[in-house]
Amino acid sequence: MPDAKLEMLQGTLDLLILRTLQWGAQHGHGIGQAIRVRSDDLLQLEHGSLYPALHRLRRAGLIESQWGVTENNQRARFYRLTKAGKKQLSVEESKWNLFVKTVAKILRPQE
Amino acid sequence: MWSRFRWWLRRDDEERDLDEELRAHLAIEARDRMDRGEPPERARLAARRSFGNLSHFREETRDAWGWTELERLAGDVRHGLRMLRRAPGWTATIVATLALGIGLSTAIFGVVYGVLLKPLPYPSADRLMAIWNSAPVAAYRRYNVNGVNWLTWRARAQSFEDIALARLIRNFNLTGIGEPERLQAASTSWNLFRVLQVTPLMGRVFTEKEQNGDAKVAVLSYGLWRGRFGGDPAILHRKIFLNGEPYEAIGVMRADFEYPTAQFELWTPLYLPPDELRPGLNNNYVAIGRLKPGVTVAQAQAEMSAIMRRFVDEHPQTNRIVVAASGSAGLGYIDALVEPLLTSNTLQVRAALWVLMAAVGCLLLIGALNLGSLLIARVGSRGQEIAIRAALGAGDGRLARQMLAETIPLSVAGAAGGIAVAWLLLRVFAPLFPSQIPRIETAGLNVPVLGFATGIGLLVVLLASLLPARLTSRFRISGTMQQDSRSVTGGTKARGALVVAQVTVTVVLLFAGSLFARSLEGVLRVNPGFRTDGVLTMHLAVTRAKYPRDAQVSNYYDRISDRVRALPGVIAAGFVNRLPLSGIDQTGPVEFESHLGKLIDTDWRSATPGYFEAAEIPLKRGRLFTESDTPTSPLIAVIDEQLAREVFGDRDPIGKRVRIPIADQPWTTIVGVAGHILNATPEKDIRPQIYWPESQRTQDRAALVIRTLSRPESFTAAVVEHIRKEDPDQPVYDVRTMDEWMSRTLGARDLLTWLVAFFAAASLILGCLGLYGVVSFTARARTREFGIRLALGASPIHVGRLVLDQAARLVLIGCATGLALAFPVGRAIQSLLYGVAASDAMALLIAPALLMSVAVLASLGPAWRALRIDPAAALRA
Repeated sequence: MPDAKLEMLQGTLDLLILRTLQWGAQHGHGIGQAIRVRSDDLLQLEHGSLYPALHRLRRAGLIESQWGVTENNQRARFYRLTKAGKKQLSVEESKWNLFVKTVAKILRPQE
Repeated sequence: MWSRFRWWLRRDDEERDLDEELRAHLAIEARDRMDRGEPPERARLAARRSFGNLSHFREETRDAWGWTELERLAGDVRHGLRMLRRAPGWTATIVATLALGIGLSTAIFGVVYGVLLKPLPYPSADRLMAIWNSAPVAAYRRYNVNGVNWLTWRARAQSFEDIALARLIRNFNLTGIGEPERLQAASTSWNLFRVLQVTPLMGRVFTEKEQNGDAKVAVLSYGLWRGRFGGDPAILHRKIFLNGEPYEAIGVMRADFEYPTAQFELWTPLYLPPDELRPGLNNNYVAIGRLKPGVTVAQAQAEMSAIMRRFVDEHPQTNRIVVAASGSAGLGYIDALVEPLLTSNTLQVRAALWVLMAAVGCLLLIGALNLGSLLIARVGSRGQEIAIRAALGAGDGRLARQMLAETIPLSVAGAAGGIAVAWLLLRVFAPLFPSQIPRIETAGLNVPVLGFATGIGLLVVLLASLLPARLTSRFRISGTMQQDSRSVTGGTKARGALVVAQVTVTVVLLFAGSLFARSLEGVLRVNPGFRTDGVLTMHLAVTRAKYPRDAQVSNYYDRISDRVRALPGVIAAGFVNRLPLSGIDQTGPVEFESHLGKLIDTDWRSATPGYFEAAEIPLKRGRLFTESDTPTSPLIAVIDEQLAREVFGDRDPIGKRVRIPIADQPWTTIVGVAGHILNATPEKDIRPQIYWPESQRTQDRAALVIRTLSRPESFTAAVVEHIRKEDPDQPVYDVRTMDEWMSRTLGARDLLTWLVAFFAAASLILGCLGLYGVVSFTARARTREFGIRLALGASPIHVGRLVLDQAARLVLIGCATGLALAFPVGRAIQSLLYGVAASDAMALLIAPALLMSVAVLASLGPAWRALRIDPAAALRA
């Protein structure tokens, strides 16, 4: 499967970012990497959508940021889930699950 | 909104953070690649490449921040300013229209706010209520209360914290310090200050004990204290002489205390003599109550009505009223009326001021419509520019926002100009408003009024730019850039709608204006029934401490009359207790011996023989008063022709007897019938009149009426000098010629009429401009069409008629809707009209006729041009 990159579904990016940050604080590049790796390279984040999304989440108060240093001694901005963000994540997750289940049911109805 | 603004303030920080974050991202990416073995230079490049267009991406992120909208708006405003500078004539027209419209309406609103809306200067003033007696069956919706009312209400009403009583005419002659002066004063119940929740600046106010004991104490106004007593701090220990009696000054009120109006200078305790307390009599007072917190006016009204009802049951004889005045007969019970004090104070002027506000609002509306029309025309002429912008990718919203942004500088300039105009108008015209309007002196530019101006400015511009904004979206499709004369009709249709709306409003305004003009004409035609020219009048009040007996007072009046009559140039002089047209009445019922039980409401007057002579009130029958009518001669009366007709029809009233319908009042014999004169305003001249000789029914306040050969005002000094010769302590006040009283009586109507007429004329001009603009614009736009028509054989007359048809259609539709609206408007202002019906045919016809002729005139030019179109030239164009 040479060209099997997936189009990102609208609205799922926020969910993926929040989910990624559940494991701990991460910087923008790290978030992109994590999503790519965990999706077996199927999901490639556009940088042009990652940073606006981070900003959006930050203004919504779901994540917060702080300047820090990576293990390679590179200064970077680290993002972390806020309390509201954690709550939002669980809401989004169950919504997503319901959505997937529903779509699946329609595509492959059980006899 | 606020959080967005905070972000915007921090935008530089955010920009820096973003840049650094992106740099960090690239560094990490490059590092990763190097870790995987790529050479550093290539790793960095690859990192950069994988990232994509950095600046595009920066823009996207910034978009998410949300400042771009603001920045774009600022850019649009700058662009707008450039466009406005390029069309200075157009810009000046719009700003002038706006400034005038906003200025006029702000000035009127300044008056409306100062008089009608601004809260009274007392704590929780909205809880202050005026309480009246009310007898709607007798056409007396509100009239004064008496001591019994007050005591009953105070004892029983639960809705009020307290109720105060005041006698608003309790004026004094101030003597013993300099020039004698007449002070406007009120006597009030001790709790008035508590009800109003005010405290004196120094000293104290009077007590309940002082009120009940008729104590000679007085509270001074700040103005009187400063002006007359030089702000003497020791005033509290001084005695001042009021009506010749010593009063102790016990307090000075603060400068802003102005109950009942700013003209009042003194307050004394209101003593209610026990023999005055009789139900249904001596209605000399006004009552003010303060509602308990949370009690509504309706609740208080219900309670007061219930109290009055119970009171009627307890006193069945006195509080039943028999109505027999002016033909209407009925039976009713006296009720109470509770209304906010502010409403009560402004009763006389409320309707007129709102009419002015509505008229100026109409003018503003027409101005806004004109503005809309101008903006549309501009969109039309800029169709090409807009099409290019659209082709380059500007969205609908973007274009609409741009149109709006261009109008923002206009609205700012318009509002600023409007405030300047309003300031000027208020300075110049506020003094012209009749001084009887309460609180008129406080009308000015204050925060709410400025807020109004700004709000109106924004609103007008917003409304005016909505339509063009909608139009821009159409231009994108209209054959894009090859746009020419054929594609402007969209704008024309919208402008046509605006013109129809303008015509509608103008018709309504002209209609109202002509109704007022015809009312004024009616009022001016009113014959006052006596000769007003050549007459000087002045008031004086006798100090009763000096002249305790009635005979002394009337003798004093006679001596003054004799002295004044002796002056060269004086033809006649006499006294009457209430001057006609002065706005002060003395009214009450009379009863005729031949028609017992039939009470007729009349104007009561006490007069000396010289009064009829000086005012030239005609004698219709019998005789007038003479020197031989003395306190000891038989009691007599003179009635006016209206009263004679009402009671006796064609029969002779001479020799019949009449009296004030109270048991101990004596009968008086009618000796003559005088002509009816105008005592109050023409609108309220409803009562017949009766006169008693001053010598037999003496009153200590009187007006001296002097007929002179010419220039009556030049006699003032000589007359006052002769009065002072009789009594050096006699104050003389309210000196005016009779003509001046007459014009004051008509003054309010004058002003109302002129202002409405002015607004109507201004709207007519604006409406005509709008009409002309649209007609000529369309005609020019249709030049090619006309050329084709002419080439195909249409006669020039036919083409000219096409132009006229369009104008006529717009005006006809506008007139039809305007006339439909005129009826409800006429009914709404009915109460302000005099001698003209709200459906007056003349007024209805004037407006459409005027507009039609203007429409024809406005379209003549364009039609003439259409007639002379050269088909060949037009087609090539």
